[in-house]
Amino acid sequence: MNSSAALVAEQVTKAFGDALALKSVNFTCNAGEVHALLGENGAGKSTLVKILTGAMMPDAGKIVVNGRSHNFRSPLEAQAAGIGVVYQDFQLFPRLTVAENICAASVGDVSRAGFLSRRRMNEKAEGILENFGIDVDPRREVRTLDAAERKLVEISRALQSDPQYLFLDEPTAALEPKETHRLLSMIDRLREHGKGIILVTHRLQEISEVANRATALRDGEYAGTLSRDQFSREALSELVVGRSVEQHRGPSHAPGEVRMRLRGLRVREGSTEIDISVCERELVAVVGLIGSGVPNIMKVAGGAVATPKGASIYLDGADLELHGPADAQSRGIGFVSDDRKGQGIVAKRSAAENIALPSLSRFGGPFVHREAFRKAADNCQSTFDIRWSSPDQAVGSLSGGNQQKVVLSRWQVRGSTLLVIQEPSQGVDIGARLQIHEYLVEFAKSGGAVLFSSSDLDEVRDIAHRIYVIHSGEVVAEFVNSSDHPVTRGQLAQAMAAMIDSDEKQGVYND
Amino acid sequence: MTEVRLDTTAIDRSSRRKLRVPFDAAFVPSIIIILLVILSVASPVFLSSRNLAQILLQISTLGIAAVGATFVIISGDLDLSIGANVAVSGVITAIATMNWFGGNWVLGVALGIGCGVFIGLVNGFLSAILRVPAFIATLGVGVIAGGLALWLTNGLTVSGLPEDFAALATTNFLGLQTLVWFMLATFLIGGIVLHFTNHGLRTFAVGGNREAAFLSGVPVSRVRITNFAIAGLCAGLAGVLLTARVQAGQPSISTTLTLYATAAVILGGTSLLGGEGSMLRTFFGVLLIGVVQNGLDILRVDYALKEVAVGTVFVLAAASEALRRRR
Repeated sequence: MNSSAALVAEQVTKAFGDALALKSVNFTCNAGEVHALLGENGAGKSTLVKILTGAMMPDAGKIVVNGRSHNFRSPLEAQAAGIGVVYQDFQLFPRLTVAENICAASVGDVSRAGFLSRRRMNEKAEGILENFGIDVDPRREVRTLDAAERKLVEISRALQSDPQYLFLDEPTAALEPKETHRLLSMIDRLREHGKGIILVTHRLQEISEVANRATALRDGEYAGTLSRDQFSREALSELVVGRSVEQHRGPSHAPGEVRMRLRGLRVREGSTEIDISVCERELVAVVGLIGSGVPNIMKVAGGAVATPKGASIYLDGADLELHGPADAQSRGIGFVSDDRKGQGIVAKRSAAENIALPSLSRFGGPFVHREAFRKAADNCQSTFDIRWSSPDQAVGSLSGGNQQKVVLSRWQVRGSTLLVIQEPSQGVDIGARLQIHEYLVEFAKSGGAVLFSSSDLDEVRDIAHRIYVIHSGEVVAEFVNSSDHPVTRGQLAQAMAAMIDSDEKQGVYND
Repeated sequence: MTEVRLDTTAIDRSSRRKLRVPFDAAFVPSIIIILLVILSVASPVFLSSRNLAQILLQISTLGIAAVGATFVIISGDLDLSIGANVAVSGVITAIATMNWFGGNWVLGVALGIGCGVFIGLVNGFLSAILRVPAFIATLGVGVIAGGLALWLTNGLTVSGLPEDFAALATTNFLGLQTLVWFMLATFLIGGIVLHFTNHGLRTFAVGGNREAAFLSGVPVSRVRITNFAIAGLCAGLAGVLLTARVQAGQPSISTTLTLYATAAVILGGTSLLGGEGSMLRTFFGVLLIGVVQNGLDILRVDYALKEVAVGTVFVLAAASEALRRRR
């Protein structure tokens, strides 16, 4: 019986209209293993996840759980068979407590004669949290939690029905390195409890940290499975993309004169002033944990907010203050937020319109020039390899990577020469990520400047000339990186670890 | 193991989804056509050209006001002062013409329309600059404007307006009164501004994602204020023309107009959340209301029951729309 303790998809096929989303796909996750599920956007991952969790029915093929064949017609039936799922977007009730969120689906278990027993609810939640070593007070309101804690609560909620197999859809997408570490160690504990974890992710680093095996889908087909001893960045990328890929290992070209320098910014009361710069032809990374103030720095540098009092921006030979996005754009700055849905795209409008949005008045006259929009969009499509049915397609229906390319296209069309980007490849698949890196490096080579923040240390090491490490609103380290003398993961990790240590010391003093 | 064969309803459903877009746009027009057929069977008068012209005349004021409401709703706001704006603009036109400008209605009209725009600018200032939620800001402004209309007239209608002023709205041209031509022109110009200008595209962007629009350099506050001003301009124009048509300034004519204008926009299929919609949809929403009201008139339905019937149409149309979207 133990040998057959597995969740198996056999020859699963699924079509949408004429398009085959899955073609006879096989997939097996054993109990007690972490199995990474990889693939570019559109490769069929989410369709497979939906089929295995009962959210969608396959056209052909079967699902076998622990040797028994199943035919899920709803997520509830999948749940009854021991399958749980945590989706990527936060689906918690912010105004309710942790315990209320965890027990929301099963209040019957914690009530008596129709009355809710808050005590029993808190006890039940506490039991689940303790069992998996999650240090969160069940009485706290969810909106007071940080991103990692919320993700842990969401996983706990999925665990309250005690599933044997748990799907985690990009659980670390919104998390910083330290939080990711916390989440990965929880995944490890779940495995020790004998659960089978299917981890959908784009981040190769965390696969090598936590997964036993990795399976990739490519264009709806099974592309292969690697086991732990075969893991390497190259092997995993190749499995996903389908060809051998050339990774940038630090930039190879030399930067020019200082293009922009941000000085005098105090991220918080009493902290030392920030002083960071970016040169022509240079890519500069800013890294830091949550609460370090990195987003503030990026927003000020990108002109997303007016330059605060006391701070000044030296740009193209003059000290000045930026009054907001329109002002920054007229000086050649393009800003890309890490909140693509909330602050990046206008989902219901077409890709062409989204691309043209900052440049409307530059097309001349009060009337819109749809032909010019489309031409500009077509140019961007060939630059970025954007996959759309036409530039008139609504941006909201594109994949994350293509949406990010559309947002970058805005500044290409606007003619921006300095890009300030938060998380250039967040929520973007491996292929698109490589293309975005390629573009940014080319952009810098041809005279542009790029300042970006990233929680992905591989990304930082791949393309940045210089790396600022921020902690508590201050620059605590600066690294120089090149293909000849690359910064090692160890060096960066050490700088990060020093911060984690100091955080923990602070924790001790607070107690 | 036995092969699991599964039904194909999911596939059918997804391919049906592709056919939905033109169907969406055709939804309200097809309801209108069905109503036209039913009503023409019920009464021979209904499809007469005279009655059809009557329908257009009946919806003219509502239509002009709804054009403005469309701009405000698509940019993600709401204007609850439209009806009161129509009333006070009309009253001011009448009073100014009679008492201040000695019968010179051109100046009266200019002041009336100016009053409409001013109220729109106040709405915009409160919502976009002071960040008062548009719902409460425009509701408050509407209450003030309605109160002013009553105060200026002591609650009485202002009559005795010049004949040539009435001609502004009631002259017959190609079989339709000028009031109807004003409405059609307002829809045409509104449609051009909304769908073919940079301001129109910015309106959709601001309503679709205010943050993203701001970070793209769109002057969000200016766009919102402009749209409130457009709504005020339309309300002012509606007030002036209504005054011309009935040859009197009436302070209490427009209590339900606000809600009907908003309902017409939403019935047409424009999202109350903003970022979506079209001027043609609003036109069909207005036309639907007109056809229903006229049909009930022709069938001599009692006034109170007429209200019940109109409300029922609102609910049914909105519910079937919502049901269809979910599917």
